[in-house]
Amino acid sequence: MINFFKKLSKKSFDPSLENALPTLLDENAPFRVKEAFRNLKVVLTVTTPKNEGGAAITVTSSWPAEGKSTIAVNSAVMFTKSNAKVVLVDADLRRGKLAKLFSEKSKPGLSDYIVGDVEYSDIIRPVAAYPGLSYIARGTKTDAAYELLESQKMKDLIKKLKAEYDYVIIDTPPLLSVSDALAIAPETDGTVLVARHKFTNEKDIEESIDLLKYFKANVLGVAVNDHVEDKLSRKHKSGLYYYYSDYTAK
Amino acid sequence: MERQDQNEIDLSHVFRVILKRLWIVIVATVAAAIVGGVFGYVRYHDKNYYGTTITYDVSIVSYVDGNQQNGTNYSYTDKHMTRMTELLSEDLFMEELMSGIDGAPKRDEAGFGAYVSALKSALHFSYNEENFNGLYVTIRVLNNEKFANTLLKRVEEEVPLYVQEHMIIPTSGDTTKYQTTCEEQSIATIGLMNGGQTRREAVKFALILGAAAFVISCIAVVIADSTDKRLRNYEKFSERYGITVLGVIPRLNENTETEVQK
Ligand SMILES: Nc1ncnc2c1ncn2[C@@H]1O[C@H](COP(=O)(O)OP(=O)(O)OP(=O)(O)O)[C@@H](O)[C@H]1O
Ligand SMILES: [Mg+2]
Repeated sequence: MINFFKKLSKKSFDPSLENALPTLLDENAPFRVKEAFRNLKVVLTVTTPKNEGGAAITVTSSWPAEGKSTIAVNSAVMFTKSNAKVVLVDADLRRGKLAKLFSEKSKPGLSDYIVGDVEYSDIIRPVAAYPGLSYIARGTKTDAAYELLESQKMKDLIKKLKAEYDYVIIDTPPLLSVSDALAIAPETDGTVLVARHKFTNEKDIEESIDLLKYFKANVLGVAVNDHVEDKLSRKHKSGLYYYYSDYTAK
Repeated sequence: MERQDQNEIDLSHVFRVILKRLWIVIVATVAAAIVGGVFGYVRYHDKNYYGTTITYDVSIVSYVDGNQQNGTNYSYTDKHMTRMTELLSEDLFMEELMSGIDGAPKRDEAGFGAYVSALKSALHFSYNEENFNGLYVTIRVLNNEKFANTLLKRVEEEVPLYVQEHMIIPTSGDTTKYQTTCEEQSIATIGLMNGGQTRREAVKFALILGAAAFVISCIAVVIADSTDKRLRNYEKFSERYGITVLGVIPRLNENTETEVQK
């Protein structure tokens, strides 16, 4: 009986999502979606402290498939629309798929650079479709991800990128699975914790935030992803997004 | 004041949760009501009670030298009437009735005891508790109208005699004698005693089970919802834990089936 009700409210996890590519929005994306990313950009611009050049932002989440990469990529694209120079870093050295998203090979990338196999100039890849956007691929897959990410070379790289770009957006693996993000987050100016609506447990969000704070990361807040409005409780919400969607509907 | 606000919010939350899963509540309620209705029907549709209540006037008449005396009648008391119903409820009276029923077993024959118990459960004796001058005999036979009629005939034959014979009033003088009279007040006829009961019982059980299922399913839905610890209301969550919500990204393509499930 209880199981029956559990099944109704929590459906089983879909493993295919873990291997799915993040979604990169194009110009034809619905207005409400573009508007949501625009609002996120606005909030990030305001909340991220800027010192010595650009701002580095870590995007992480508690568990896989919550939308870290999707939010990282689309936020980066959104920043370029404000004429900012943006670099997107795939710091998921185990399973990062950014290169695949742009239909390219992962090598050479971040891991190869830190190990010392390639030069800085070898890993910066401009994205033709989005002027102002460059990215750094994952590189050779490695299981020593944490050690590479906590290295001085990584810290120096972040500084170097900040000097060159307005925004350095770092996509990371899930916090509660592996510690990689904890090596990076404190080295950046702000951390965005992604939580997927009706998916991420509230206590995991809290745990992730505690963890990040313990590691002295500057937690900017939570980005709620994949939000689906409840049909029954579609009450009037405040905020830019709702304001604009109302505005255009009339 | 604040506390009350909290309660109101909780109530409306509970209400919304139930509304969201209303179909479960409705299905459970309707299913239970159908089960209840069927149960009530199955249980009572073949249970027809045939019978009637016969009313007797009982009184004490006094005779002096064989002549009935008017105005000096004694009246029975509660105690006497209780005794009267007890006498009639005894095995002995049942045996008396059986002696006139075709096919009824004799004492020492097989099934005698069972027959006596059956008769006892088919007959009920009571009396007028205000004036102690009325005796009521109720016949109630399950699914056997013919036997009810047989029993009625036997009761009409035997009850007055038995009462007159057994309710003996001790004489107080030499010349005055007392006699109990017991007369049927009006002609009784056997009929269906529980007409419409099947429908009433079916409706009753449907209502009881339906209401129970409604309450239980509402509670179950609310409990099931409270065990869901996933992020659902981010506004509440952010308020409760003091966590800033930087942005809310909607489902990217609401038409496609990309719903994430956990
Ligand atoms: N708002 C959204 N609406 C619909 N689909 C989404 C949304 N956000 C993410 N997805 C999809 O969910 C899947 C997982 O997203 P994504 O790869 O961005 O998550 P992740 O947190 O980076 O996962 P991982 O930990 O595996 O790197 C992808 O297929 C993505 O397209
Ligand atoms: Mg990812």
